[in-house]
Amino acid sequence: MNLKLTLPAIASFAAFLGTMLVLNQSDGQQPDEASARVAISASATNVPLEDSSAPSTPTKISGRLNQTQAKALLESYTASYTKPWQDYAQSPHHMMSRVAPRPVPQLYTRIEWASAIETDNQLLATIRISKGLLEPTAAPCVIDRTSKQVRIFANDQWQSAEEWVKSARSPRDFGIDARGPN
Amino acid sequence: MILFARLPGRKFWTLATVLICGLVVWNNHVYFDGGPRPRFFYEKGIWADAVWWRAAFYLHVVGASICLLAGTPLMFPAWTKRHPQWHRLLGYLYINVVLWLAIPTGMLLATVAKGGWLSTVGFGLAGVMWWRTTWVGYTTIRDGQLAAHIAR
Repeated sequence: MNLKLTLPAIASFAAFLGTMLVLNQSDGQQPDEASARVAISASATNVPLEDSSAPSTPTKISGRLNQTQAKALLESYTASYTKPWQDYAQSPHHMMSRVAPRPVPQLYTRIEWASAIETDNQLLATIRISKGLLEPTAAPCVIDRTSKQVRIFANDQWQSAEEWVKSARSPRDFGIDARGPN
Repeated sequence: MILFARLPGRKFWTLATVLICGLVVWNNHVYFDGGPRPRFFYEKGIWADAVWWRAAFYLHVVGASICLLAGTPLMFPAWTKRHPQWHRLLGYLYINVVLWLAIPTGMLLATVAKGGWLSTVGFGLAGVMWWRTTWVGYTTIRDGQLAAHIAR
């Protein structure tokens, strides 16, 4: 075959392999999105325990999360959980990404708080996830006031909050292709 | 433009085609300018995280953009008559980018096209036809068959 075709063919293949190599290396230097979301949530676990060191009165030092702190902790996890969809909703639309541009359906995840029940060692709450037109789902969760560990019942199992954040569904999972705007 | 030579309103369609080609090429900057993640990547889900998919996508966008820029002048007989060397140069650029870059990467992307197997088949057929017509364009002029090359 003509060299004017053979050499470009080889160069194109080399370009493909080279591009894959570059992308692979750049991916290795950056944390994946799921881990980044967990890291954001984990930073919120550095919530200071309630300072119950009363200077003069002989009160017991509890060092446990109070409800306000637990709420902040849960909200950080839910914010990370909804981040993929919100990023998608806020991403700019470009004309040629589809022939007939349409607004993003209101299929974003929003966490609604149920009332919290408090015990000595644990806080109980329910995270309600509203998916636009879809039936809202409820995810019961338990917060250990001492260890600040959060367990959430989702995907038919109890899992840590970090695992739950990693399981956050992508815009593609919401069937954006199948559903039109509201 | 040779494509519309025998159609009514050929000047209008020529202008519209050239402008739309330019718009497509310009719009592709969103994939390379480091700005917000384009919505298309979110819609592709896990595929947008796959290294092979992204490599194929970027090369497909680059290849197709070069095709639009290099291929458009080739469609003007008057320009070809005045600048035959440029036609030959851009022609080689066009066929090489199409045959070895734009179509192979497009076929790779087609394997996971939105719309399932129907879209995959559609894109695959389009790729095969594009490859075939481009190859015929090359072989006909290589063999001196000008009329077939112009395909009037």
